[in-house]
Amino acid sequence: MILMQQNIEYMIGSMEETVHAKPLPVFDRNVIELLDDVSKEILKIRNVREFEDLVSIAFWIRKASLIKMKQQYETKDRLGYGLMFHITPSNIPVQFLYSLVVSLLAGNANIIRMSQKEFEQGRIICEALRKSLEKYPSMLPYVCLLRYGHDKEITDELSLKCDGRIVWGGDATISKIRESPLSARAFELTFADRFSLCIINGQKYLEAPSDTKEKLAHGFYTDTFFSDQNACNSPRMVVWIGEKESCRNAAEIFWNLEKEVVEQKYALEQISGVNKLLQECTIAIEMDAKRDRKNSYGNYVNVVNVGEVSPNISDCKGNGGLFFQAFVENVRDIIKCVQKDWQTLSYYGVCTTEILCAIRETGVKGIDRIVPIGQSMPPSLQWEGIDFIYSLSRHIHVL
Amino acid sequence: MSIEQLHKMNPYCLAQQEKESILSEIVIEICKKHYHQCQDYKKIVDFYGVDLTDANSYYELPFLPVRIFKKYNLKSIPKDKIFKTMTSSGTTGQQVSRIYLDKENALLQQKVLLRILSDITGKQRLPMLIVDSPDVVSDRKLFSARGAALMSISMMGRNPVYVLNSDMSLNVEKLQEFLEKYGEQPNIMFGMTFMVWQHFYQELKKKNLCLDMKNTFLLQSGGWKKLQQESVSRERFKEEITKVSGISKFSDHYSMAEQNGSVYAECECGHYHASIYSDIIVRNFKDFSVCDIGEEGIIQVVSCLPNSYPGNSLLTEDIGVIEGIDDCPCGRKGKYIKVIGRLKNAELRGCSDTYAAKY
Repeated sequence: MILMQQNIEYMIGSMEETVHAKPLPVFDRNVIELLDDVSKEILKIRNVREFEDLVSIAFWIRKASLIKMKQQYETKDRLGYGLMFHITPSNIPVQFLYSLVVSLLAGNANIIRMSQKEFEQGRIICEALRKSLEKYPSMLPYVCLLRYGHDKEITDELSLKCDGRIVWGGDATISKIRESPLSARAFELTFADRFSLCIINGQKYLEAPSDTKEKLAHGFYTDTFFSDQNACNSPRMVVWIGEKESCRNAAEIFWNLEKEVVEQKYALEQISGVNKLLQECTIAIEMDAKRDRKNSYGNYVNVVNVGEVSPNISDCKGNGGLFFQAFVENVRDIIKCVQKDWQTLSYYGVCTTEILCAIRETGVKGIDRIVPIGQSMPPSLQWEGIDFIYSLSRHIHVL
Repeated sequence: MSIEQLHKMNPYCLAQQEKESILSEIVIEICKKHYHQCQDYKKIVDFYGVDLTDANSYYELPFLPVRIFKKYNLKSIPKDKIFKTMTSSGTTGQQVSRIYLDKENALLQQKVLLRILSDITGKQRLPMLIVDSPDVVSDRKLFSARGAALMSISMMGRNPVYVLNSDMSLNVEKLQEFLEKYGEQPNIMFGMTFMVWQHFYQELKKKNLCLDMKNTFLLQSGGWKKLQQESVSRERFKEEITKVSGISKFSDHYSMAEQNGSVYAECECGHYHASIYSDIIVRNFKDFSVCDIGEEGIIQVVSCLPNSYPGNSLLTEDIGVIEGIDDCPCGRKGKYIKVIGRLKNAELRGCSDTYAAKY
């Protein structure tokens, strides 16, 4: 290999071994054993409970859970493609583990470029992987975790070598990575910038018992503050559906409860309020929007009302707890604005059939996931309409 | 009441309550003008639902984050009235703030700065040393905050002498020549805090030189971040400078390019005072509510000077505290404050701090 090896920092494994690893059957027994052990190693860590995202994925890769997943697939004559090259994002600490898991389950060897940004979760995962791989040495060639700076030569080389490339966006990363061509037979999965939103029926919310309201506040927290709204599935906007007066009342209760949860759980940085003030002033200058009059939620939760629901509301991208809010009469009013880049729609008090009907009837290109509030994060083998097991493996057709 | 009337008063003569009502009247009037002449400012005021015709006090005005001047060119004057554009100095890669001044506003800033500082150092124009290189002010097309501060403050002195060479080394001969001539009478030395430390103090120490500058008043401005990193407190700074130079009179001031002129000068008791031209409100990190005396928060600055751009009420990225109101032993009325530092994660801003970052 002619690579500038000195510019690469290896966290786990080595490229030489990984490029020569052979494809495995999907849900290979060794893969399941390894992941189960990784799960145990992660859950052993004393302070692991502090990291909800890590706990959630660790439970997801336990043996029992993996076997249940396996049963839902036609695994006969299915093998991995070979070598997958993953570019993982800097804003979600456990994303690289997720990307590794789905690709291993599909039977591939993996070179994963991790973000330069250090997270405690990342450190814990690497440590667990290292320990487990020692116990399952046959799996060593299948995992290579590395880091390097913006070095196109390295990306060029890895892109030519791999059988498939997975790029977790944003858009800018994707277009940059695409400057490095793949070999003729290789394929690519890309996950671009997306817009996600939350819709709530105002009347239903008002009628909900207080413990449900409490639960929704915690669920919404997990969907948003947990990643500072920087994940593609984090709602950036809350749309209230129904009669205006009850929606306004519902919104006030909702945000006040949310503020309480955030105050308890979230470490607000001193600079955070100033950053959101700048976002607000930018919004004031660029958009038709007003700060919510009832906004008395301090610097934890900022709510901005958009004047009109239109297709370009996906420009509404706040983070760190800055939410856009709109009021509409029915589900169709919002669905008709959906754009191709809209991803997750989380909901409360709205019938999913009604949403699906509206999507079908209006024929919009966006919305890949419809999930209850609080469920926008849990790991799954399907993502953005793609099934990873089927997408990352080949089926040998026998006549 | 108008700014002209403020010019006739001593800059610290008003007790807080009276000052607030006078300053509010003037500031709100100017903000109304900005509202009609600066589209972006109008949008921001409307976004927050503030009705300026209803406002009674500058406490009610929306405050703009200082970083907004890096993103937008906010001004309330037509292009052909721009007399100079002040930029906050930034190291390469950092965006730069742009503050647009017409002639009137530039003169006003200058006038107020001199009124404030001469209340500290005394009225007459004194011989002056400047701890900087003359190159900083020679490029007048782009006005850096450092250059502007030097330009304005050098007006306080007679024939200012720049004691650094172009490469920032100390010109000892020039310094000694000045002291031979003026050392026996009151004189002023001005410099950015970090530069005084690095290029004056450190150099004298390295060269093992001890000067007799007992008649020199050291005026400083600029951030303390770099010195804080080296664990040099205000007290230690003074002690060390006295050791090598004999200087015993000091005054620092807190200022920013976005509100030049209405600076917060340090009195002989070591307190930084708000003059009648401006005020400081300290706001809570968590909800921007107004902090009590002694309670740390984010510094908001309110000034009646910005006339050509909507910079009358700004939220800085500095942490500070109101130490007292109307009761400083020096006799100056109004609030006096302490600047504690920069918000963490905040972009490195300011003049001498960004200079220090290169070191």
